[in-house]
Amino acid sequence: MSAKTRVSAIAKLVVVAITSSAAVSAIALDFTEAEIRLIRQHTPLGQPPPDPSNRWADDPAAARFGQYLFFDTRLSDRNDVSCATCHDPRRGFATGTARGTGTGGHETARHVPTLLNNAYNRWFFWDGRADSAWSQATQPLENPSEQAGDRLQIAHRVSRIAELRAGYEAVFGKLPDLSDTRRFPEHAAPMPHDSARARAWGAMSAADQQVVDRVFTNLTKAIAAFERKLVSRDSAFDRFAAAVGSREPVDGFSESAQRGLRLFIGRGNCRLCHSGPNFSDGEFHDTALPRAGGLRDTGRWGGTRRLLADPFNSAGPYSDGVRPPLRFVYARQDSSGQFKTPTLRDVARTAPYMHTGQFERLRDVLRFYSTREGIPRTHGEQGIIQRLDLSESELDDLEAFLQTLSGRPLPPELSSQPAPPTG
Amino acid sequence: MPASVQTRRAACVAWGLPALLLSLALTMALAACDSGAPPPTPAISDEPAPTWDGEFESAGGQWRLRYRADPRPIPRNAMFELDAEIVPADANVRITAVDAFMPDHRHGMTLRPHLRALGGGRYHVDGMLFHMSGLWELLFTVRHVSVEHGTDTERVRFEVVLE
Repeated sequence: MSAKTRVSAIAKLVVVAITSSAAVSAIALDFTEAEIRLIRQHTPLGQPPPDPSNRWADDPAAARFGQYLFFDTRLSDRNDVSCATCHDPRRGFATGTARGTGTGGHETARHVPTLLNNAYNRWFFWDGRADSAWSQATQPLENPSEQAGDRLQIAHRVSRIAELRAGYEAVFGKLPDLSDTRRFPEHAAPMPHDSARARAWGAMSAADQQVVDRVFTNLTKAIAAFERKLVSRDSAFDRFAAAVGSREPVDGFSESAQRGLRLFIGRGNCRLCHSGPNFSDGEFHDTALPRAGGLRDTGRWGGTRRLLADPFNSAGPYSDGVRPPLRFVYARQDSSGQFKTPTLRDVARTAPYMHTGQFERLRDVLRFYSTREGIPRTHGEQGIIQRLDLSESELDDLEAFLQTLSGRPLPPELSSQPAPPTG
Repeated sequence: MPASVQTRRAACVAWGLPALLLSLALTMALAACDSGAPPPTPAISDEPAPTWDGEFESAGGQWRLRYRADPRPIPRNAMFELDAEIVPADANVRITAVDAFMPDHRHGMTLRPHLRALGGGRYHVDGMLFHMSGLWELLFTVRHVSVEHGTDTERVRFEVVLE
């Protein structure tokens, strides 16, 4: 090594040392008391709220069986797609592409949202067309672009595959006898897009339909019990927020992240929608995002209408109790084009972004809100979302803050299929 | 005589946008502001909570409308309920609707509350949800009938700021 190179190496070491020191120096900004109150609105993330619609929501045996089902491709028509295909544990239980890929290579209509912190949601799907996690899980199983199965096919498979039958009966009791295929055809479901399966469903007695729907929804209640365990908390932000009043140093929360936090709760107004410990108000907004592919999407308007008509909503016969908001929700005239505010916890692990998945990087999202380029001159929520004209360094700061919202990694045992149930 | 609709401002909160976002959650009546009295402090001490969160007196003083929230103070982004009363109870003065609106955001609630008359001028409201921070207008529609004015519909508005 030449003398010149040695000098350069020493200089780099000094720079690294200074940088590390700055990263650990932690509380550099003087947050006001008002700012501290706002910061603490976002932490801690407590236990998920109870789900009165699912009596097995917190049943460990149901969660274990649900985890087995979550990773099982045999719930799809062609045995090729499981819940985990799109909700990939390696990608924050989301998909790394703009759209998910279902059975036969079909693309999903919207971006796949993360399942992390799913249990904190009031509504499910980008358009809120389900009001419980178990009700949500019924839909991909029969969606022709996702798992493309049907409830009779799934019920038959569960009854014929020993470990699935054992897992079911260990949680829910004896499976009904589905062996008479005149009463319980191999394929049937009330599917508007599939006339053969719809006809077969229509030919069944109401009592037999209820037997199948009970099996079908029990399976998704087990899946929902597993999803309740997918919780992201204890991030660098949580540690910083707990210490901010005491001025204790916090590792992993740089000065840039602090400036970003100040923007988030202040001039950026991000907290208006990304509120509370889950960084989401759980409701719906029109961000005036340009349509992906030019397709019209009514979002919350259509979602509410579907929710209210869904027999699997929490006021229906397969629910164990009504989730209170359902009693009061209605299709608001101004809800067309609105989509649910996503959680920001673990957001750095769940690219791409927005309900269309059209932004690949966090920076793209921040730039969209900063410049508002490409949006109509007027839109429904211009009173909330206003052009921010952030500088590049402010964008850096906000991005640094968002990086601090990644929680501790989930236990590895939640990221793969467990051993088969044995009964 | 055709019914008329008047809006009465029943609450007064001093705020600019920064103050709005940084202030404590407050619910207060205009009467307190008009009289120059200091705004009530949110109940965080050992003192018993006030009986009512807001009260409005009609122009002629014939009736008053008062309400309280449960839980109190009104939470941000969690459902709550209201109890309301018309005093003195009068079959000719009725609350016919309850709603809420964010004037700065130009939107209302995401839920449609249910109003139930309990008799004796008392009402209960389920399904309230203020899902965002900021200024909310809590709106009671009151229908009253009198010999002088026939049927009038009046909208009584209380202002609530959530941090």
